[in-house]
Amino acid sequence: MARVFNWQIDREMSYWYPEARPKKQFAAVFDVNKCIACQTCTLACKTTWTSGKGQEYMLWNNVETKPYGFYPLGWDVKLLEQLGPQRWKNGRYEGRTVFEAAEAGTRVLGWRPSAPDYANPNVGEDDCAGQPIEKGAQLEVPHLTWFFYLARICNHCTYPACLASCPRAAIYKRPEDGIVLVDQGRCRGYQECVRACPYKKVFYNPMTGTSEKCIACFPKIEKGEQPQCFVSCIGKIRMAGWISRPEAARPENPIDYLVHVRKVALPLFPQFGLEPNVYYIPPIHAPRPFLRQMFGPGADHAVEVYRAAADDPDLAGLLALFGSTAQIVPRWRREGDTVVGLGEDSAEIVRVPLREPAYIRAAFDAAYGVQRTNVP
Amino acid sequence: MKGEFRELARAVQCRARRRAPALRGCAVGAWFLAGIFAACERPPAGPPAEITAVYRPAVPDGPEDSAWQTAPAFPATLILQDMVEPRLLEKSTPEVRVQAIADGKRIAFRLEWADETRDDLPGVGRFSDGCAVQLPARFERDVPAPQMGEPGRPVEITYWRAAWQAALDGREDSIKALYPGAAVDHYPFQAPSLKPGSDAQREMELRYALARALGNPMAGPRQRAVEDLVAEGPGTLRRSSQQFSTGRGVRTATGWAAVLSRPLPAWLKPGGRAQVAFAVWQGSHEETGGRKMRSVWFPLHLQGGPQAPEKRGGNP
Amino acid sequence: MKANGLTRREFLQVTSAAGLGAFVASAARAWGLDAADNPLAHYPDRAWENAYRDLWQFDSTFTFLCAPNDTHNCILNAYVRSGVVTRIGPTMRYGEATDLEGNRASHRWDPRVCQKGLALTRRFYGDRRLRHCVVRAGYKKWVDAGFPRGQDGRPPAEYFNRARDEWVRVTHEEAADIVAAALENIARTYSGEEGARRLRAQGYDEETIAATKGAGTQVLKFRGGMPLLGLTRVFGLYRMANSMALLDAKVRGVGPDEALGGRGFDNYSWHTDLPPGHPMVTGQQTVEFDLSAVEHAKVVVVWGMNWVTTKMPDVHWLTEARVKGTKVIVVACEYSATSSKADEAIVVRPGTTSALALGLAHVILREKLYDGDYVRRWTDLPILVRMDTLKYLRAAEVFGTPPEPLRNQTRVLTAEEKPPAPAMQREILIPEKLRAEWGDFVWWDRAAGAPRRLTRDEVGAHSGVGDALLEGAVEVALQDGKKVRCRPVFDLVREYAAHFDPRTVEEMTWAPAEAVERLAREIAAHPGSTLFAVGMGPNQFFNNDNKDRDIFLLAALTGNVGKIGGNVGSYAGNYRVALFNGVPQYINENPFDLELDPAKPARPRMYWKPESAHYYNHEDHPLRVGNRLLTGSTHMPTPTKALWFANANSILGNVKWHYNTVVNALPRIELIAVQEWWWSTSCEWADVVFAVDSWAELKYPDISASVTNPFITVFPRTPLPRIFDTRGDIEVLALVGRKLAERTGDSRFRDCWRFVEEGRVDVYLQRILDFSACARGYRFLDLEEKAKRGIPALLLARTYPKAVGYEQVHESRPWYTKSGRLEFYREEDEFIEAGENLPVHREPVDSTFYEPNVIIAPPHEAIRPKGPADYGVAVSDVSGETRQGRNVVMPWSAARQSRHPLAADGYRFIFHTPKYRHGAHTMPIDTDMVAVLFGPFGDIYRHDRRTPYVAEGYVDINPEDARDLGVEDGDYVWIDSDPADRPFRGWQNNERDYRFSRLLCRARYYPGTPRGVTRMWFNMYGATPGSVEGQATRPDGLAKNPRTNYQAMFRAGSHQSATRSWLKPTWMTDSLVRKELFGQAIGKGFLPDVHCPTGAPREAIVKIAKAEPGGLGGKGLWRPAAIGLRPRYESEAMKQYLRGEFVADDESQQGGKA
Repeated sequence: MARVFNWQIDREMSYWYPEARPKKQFAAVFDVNKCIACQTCTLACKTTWTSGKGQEYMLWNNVETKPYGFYPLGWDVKLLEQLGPQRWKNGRYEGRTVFEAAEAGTRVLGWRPSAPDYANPNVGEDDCAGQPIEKGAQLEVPHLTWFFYLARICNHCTYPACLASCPRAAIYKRPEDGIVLVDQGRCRGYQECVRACPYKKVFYNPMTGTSEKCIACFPKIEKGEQPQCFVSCIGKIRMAGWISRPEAARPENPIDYLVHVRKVALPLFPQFGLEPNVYYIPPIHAPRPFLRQMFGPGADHAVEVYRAAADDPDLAGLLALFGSTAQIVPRWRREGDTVVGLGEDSAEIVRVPLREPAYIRAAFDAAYGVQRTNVP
Repeated sequence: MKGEFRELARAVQCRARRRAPALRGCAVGAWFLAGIFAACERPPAGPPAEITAVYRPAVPDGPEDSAWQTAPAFPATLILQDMVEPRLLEKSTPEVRVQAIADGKRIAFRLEWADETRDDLPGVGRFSDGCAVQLPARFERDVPAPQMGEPGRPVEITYWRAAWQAALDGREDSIKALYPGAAVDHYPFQAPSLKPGSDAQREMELRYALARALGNPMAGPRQRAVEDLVAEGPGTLRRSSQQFSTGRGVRTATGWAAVLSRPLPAWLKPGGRAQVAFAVWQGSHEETGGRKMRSVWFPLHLQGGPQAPEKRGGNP
Repeated sequence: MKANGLTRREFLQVTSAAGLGAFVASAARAWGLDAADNPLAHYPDRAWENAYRDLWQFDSTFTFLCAPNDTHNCILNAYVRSGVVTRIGPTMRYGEATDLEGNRASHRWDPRVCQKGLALTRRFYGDRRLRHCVVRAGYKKWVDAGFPRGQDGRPPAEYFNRARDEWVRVTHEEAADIVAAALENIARTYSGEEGARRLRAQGYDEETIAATKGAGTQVLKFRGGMPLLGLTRVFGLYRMANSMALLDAKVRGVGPDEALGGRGFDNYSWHTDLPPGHPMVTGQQTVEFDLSAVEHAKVVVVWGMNWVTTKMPDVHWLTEARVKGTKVIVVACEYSATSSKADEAIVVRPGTTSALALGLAHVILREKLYDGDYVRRWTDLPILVRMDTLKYLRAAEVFGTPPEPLRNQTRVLTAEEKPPAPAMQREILIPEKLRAEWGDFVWWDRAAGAPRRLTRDEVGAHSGVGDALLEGAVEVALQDGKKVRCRPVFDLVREYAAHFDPRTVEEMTWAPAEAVERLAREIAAHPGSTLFAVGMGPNQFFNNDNKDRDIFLLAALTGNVGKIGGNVGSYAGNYRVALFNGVPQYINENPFDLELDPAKPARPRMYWKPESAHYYNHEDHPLRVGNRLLTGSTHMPTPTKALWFANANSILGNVKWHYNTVVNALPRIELIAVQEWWWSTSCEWADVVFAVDSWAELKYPDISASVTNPFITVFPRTPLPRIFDTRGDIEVLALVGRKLAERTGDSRFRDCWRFVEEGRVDVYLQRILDFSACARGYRFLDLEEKAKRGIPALLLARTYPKAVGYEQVHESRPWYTKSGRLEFYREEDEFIEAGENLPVHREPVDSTFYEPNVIIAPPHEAIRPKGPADYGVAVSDVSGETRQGRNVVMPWSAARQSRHPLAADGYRFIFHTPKYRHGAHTMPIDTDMVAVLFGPFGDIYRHDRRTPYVAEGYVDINPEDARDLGVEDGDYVWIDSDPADRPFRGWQNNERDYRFSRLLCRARYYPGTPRGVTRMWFNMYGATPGSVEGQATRPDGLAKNPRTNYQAMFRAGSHQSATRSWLKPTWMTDSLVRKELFGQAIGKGFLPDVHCPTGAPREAIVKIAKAEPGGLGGKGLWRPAAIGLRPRYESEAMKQYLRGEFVADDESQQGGKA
């Protein structure tokens, strides 16, 4: 074991390999408040990457309704239970990570799903928790009856549990973009990674005898394009980009701005210790204890910042940029009522208004001798 | 025994060097227990002290072959693989009954062991029963570490897997063979506008089975139930450039019986001696890769062929 | 050995053939100690990655339009590899859409796509795709035998074993000839006296026989399912209906002036998408706004609309507006997906929308929070009503003067005057006869203490209504010296609304009284900047017109009609064909006088008659209660003997009361022809099925637009070769035309489709554009070129975003009502008779715990309906049929004591069937990857063999209710509705059909639905005889028809097992004044998709009983419940998880250190 630093838990921790950060780290922000669970992302991924035999059950991208939705069944509850209650103090995690809690004979604390755990991939869809609806009701934020949608892909972690657990070292992190891959040529299907990944985002393919996982659409990333699940996201909840370490954050980088500057986007289960690189803007209507359990102690701050966005044109503006282009937007700026997405070279990629304008046409279009009407 | 101690220690250290200091203590401890086991489980008398590969004009290719009835059996004790993560901590298969027959060109091992459940269906969280025979890649005074060899001192492994056997015995290469209820509407490579069996259609099918496209031996389709492997220490296992082994396993009343046959190593001549090790996996026990029951090295004595009438007993 | 038909050697060859040889090395390559290095930092050999790069590759792309009936119309990119569409994606070019003036949409409109669109490859290539035309074996025998018939004209039953018969493959030519022959034979059979005799012998109502006027062509019914989804392709069926006049001319030997065409079924209203109260208040079809308008509102009330699941590509407008401070208030009968995005969510009892709206109006009236100026300028609230006749008081009665000439953007047409083409109609056109009928109106000037005349010109800025009497009554002296007591509409409404105080409303609607008070104030505080987005939910109840009238009342009182940020919208279906009001150029082109010069416009003449499909759904009967016929003569249906439709499963496969329709209505129909590219439930029950091109293979372009977004979207011709033996929908029409020409010797049948045969459908399309107010100026071929690049065009409506009522409010243009104002009082006899001259609340007709369909009202001077006694029926008769015309008035205090007639027998659950995210109608949810994500029971590997498909229908039930029934989460249950007529009349003696009709489904514990309210999603394919047979005979147990591959998602029955057809008298008047479908002219009475029945498919009260345990193979608990992950089954860990107890934060400081 080596000692590595994980900024999300604000401390050193043990990991199977010594710390080695990629030149660039792929990262993403998902705005849970905008997710509609339409599953377009799921199908975009499915039809692109997992349409083969043995992959039928496999959803590299899935969307589940929290708290009763799971894919696979109970993935997070089971691990939280294995880990037991843990604590944070002043934003520092004082509990044990999955590496520190590993059982004898293993490198990572984990569990093995079975085929039936992957059945019912949308179990709990729209099932609510909290106060049950008996008759009529009136709810205000935070909702006493609640659920929210959680879209999940591989987190392309800085400290991947899959990578640590592979006896063959057939899983690696690409130095140029931090994308984590399972070498399909060398994998022997031991399923150690399936057991180890706390997010259960590595899948065993019984027809090829290998384990497979989200590749962050690297063939697209290499061309500066956002992954399939991002481009097809009609909720416009997603933005892909590059994240810096906290001390090197650049406000003109959309991901840095949301994660490091405004601290409105948070990692998923940071306490697991993997330093995951998909960051979530937490749902403002869900109970805070649940949000802290899932997104860490920053949840309260993130919710308050988001709820104040009406008077925060930068934040509201940047959110309007989500899903407006197929390209990766490494830089951005706001120009009054317009938000602009820029390339590394500052060339303009896309420009959108904060508020879609209204146009009023002439009642009679003399050029064509016709009445333009809303009641034709 | 001494030799084995030295090699083991070296293996452990080399793992420790390459991994993290934390590992050393436990691994050494683990080896120590293993050593004791190996020692204790050598009863003074009774079963033979070595595995004898008897001579027959031709090696049998199946476990049911009558030739085996006259071949001496050796009870090879199995121990936990608890040297390197992922380790097996709970004992399963206690021993494997080993017989060997050689014909001057090939040597066949018949392994028989108890296993209540037949696990030959691949799937998520499902693991296949299997077994393996390991020989040093070359002749040396002392043998490399029994757990997958060690850097610069490769071992050759013949690996048999129940799931592969089932595929060869006729299980269809389709998801319905694994999940009979499966109902899949569409695979791009089965679009009716593609002529079934045409190059374009096959290309497309491979494209959607990456591991197959890459020729990963795990990916199938299978032609043999066994695979030849080479390793120079844990984590280095790779497919051997020569795929010369054959094998077949069958379900017995109490478990499995499998024959694994390979050409005699160049350095192993009739009448000669070698060391051989074994491993067994029980799928129902979630044994896979390093999570296995394995053995220490056992001496193997190769009976001479007809032209070289063999000497009885003793070392050369 | 062969595995997967591929030996290892072959496979290696292929590998290299696939250019993958390079990577193969990576598997065999030597590794050694490299492998042990730190893979966080370095990996030795990455050549294998090329395999993924290769999988990403495609040879080419093309665009096509995905336009199910969901209003979104997405131009999508298809990615082609080796000739196969391997995947689909958005074009991301909606942000480049412009109009003729250079206005441009922004990229915030991108992406436009959804999971159903991405799954279409399944529908292009899957095994339910129509591979060629088929005809039912028995039907072919009947045709080949020369249409043998009995004395009464009925065909022998043995030829009509629908849904169980074998199928015979035929060419398109043969199929077309069969349909042509059948149409001619049926027309001949039912023409003239002999035809009438036969119909009488078959027991049809006299009124319906008379309605045929002796023309056999009038019993031929055509439906172009949702015309806006394909103006030429789909709407072409009405052109076909029009050309049936040629057939009538031939059969009856009549000339062009007497000839009658076929009948065309409605669409928008058939789908229960039409909000029937909109025309009652505004005089035109529907008020709505593009959903992006929410960007301009301060408050949006999302009312009975699951925006998040049914308007998916446009939800971001809602969530983004919310980020920018728009308050989102969601009213729903559950805690819905949309509720989870609300700043305020209110849960109500289903079917009580009108009561809630009245409650809100009450608070606003009580506290005088209303916008008085808007009320005086824009509503009929100041107009006086005579308490003796209950009619509006007319100016002529008071002042003795004739109606004033009308000048405000209005022209009165003499009987001789022919109106110009719809798009050229700038003024509102009123036939002088109607003008005379209406006269002018009267309001009471309080200052002067005198009556004042009010013409329909006087609206908005032209309104002279000053200090009008709003509350109280006056005696008005008439010309004839008589004095009549009159009250302003305002006062009548105020008195009625007073019954709906927040406490009472809480009892009626379950909306907490405090919520009612608060919401009312919130709306009143945002006049002109509150949007009411009203969904399909409230619209699918019997009281849907009351609902509209009361919501408009609320909106009008707060000045929220006709403004971009303040308006009412109804969201169901994509319907406003009038967006292309030049369409008569195509559908109504005179078949006797065809224009074959592509450069010249057509000369339309309408020979076909529209009809509401709800009568076919009502077994061809009009509504009759006791001695009273309650269907207006302008609505009168004819017997249905032939049914031909395209692009729609809703008219048969997913028809309301499906099982009654197929068991009791279908046997009387002699031809069912379907054009489809996917084997739907409709195909199961058809006689002839034409295999047509999918959207990806269209060779004949078409056009569409939407009521929720500002785009014109073209279906471009695509380069994808046809995958199977299919033809374009419009080619099928042309083929049948040709066959009719051959049979009748009349070449005009063929010329009717000349431009199809010449591959010039753009001629028809250009004619439509040239004559469309919102499209004139566009060249079709230019639009198609843009579409091929993934770019739509902006519709040339008056505003972007569209906002109906904008011209009225901003240019003081009268509404299309008698008074030119928003009318909340309905003076027509039918409304007075129904007790609905005021915008009352009626209890639902079935989905209620109380006495169904009663009018909730205290004694009120103006509410004087005709009751059961007047119709000669016992007041105790509450049978489904009588109930529809049963006008019983009760104050809430009495209604709350009453019970649903079946309550005592255990029918105590409201069963409603909303639409959901996984389907647009039934499309395309029966495809594996969409279905498996549809709800909690998906499983692609089907561990439980009972599962009819990889997912299945289920009912959501409150866990406490389920426990009372002894039903566990995931169990199978039987669901039964009124045994008198559901699932079909006569089930008691018909086990054979009952077996596949009775609803059997899973039950899900659903804490989000109130007790007593159950929900089943609308979209899943129901069971058929074939699917039930498949489940019994197939080794894998799939509910899949062995003969057709039809895939059901129910073991038995469907969401259509529980409801029935419902006809409401106020939907069927001859007197309601409303704008014509196209243009600015006003008429009255029946108008398809505007004033006609809508049905009420969410009306069903059911009984639920456990059928089987949910566990594998029918043993024990359904697994997710068994392992403690389901509501009410939580394990200890799950409980801790829900409470968030797996982490403790020692001082929850904000932000953490991150």
